[in-house]
Amino acid sequence: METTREKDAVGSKVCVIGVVDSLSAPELERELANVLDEGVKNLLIDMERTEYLSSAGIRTILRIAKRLDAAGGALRFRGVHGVVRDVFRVTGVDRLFNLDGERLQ
Amino acid sequence: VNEENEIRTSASLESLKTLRDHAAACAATFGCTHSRVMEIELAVEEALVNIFNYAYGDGACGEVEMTCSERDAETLLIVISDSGSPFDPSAFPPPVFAKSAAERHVGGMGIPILRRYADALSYERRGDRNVLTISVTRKNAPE
Repeated sequence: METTREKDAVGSKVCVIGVVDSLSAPELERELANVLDEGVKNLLIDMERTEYLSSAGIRTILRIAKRLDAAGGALRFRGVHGVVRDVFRVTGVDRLFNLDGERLQ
Repeated sequence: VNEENEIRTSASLESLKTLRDHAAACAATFGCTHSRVMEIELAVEEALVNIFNYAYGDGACGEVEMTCSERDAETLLIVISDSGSPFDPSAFPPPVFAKSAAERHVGGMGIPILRRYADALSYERRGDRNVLTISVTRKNAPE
């Protein structure tokens, strides 16, 4: 897994590339936590290039969402597709977030 | 899929990739599409991670075994066994989803994913072993 990051006046976008499994989810969590540590309240996670996401990745997303929620922030997604979208649906996570949040605002 | 494809590894996260890659290779040989192979990898990962985390208790070492075989022309069987504490994932209750992220439990999502991508799941306690059989076909999980 790799991540890239873009920042603008309203928030940050993190692109997640590759496989988010039980091995790589802790690294994703550290990277997202670093973004939140900077005080970012508006986070967009781009999953256009995320190929695989297991329950470990769902756990990471929920922990980050709880942190943002407590800070009065918002978490949105874009590009969630294929088996990753199906995992979002099966775990009920699709109902918690805007999955088609194209813009940072 | 050849007959001698049993692998045995330590029941720890460091074995995840070896075991999941093995299942993926068997599924690809069986003729599954790339997206179905990923679904099968998800089922296998969730079954394994559960064993890694809970079968042998804190800090204890244990092993896990996996074999793949064709039951018939339509069905691939992935059998995962361990000698840890009895646990039947097929009897795990379905999750209840809270309406907000703040109220959501972060865990308990592995078994719903395992169930989603297995066509059938059967569990047996054989002596001191847990034997979990994940049956999969080439068809993607239904919409």
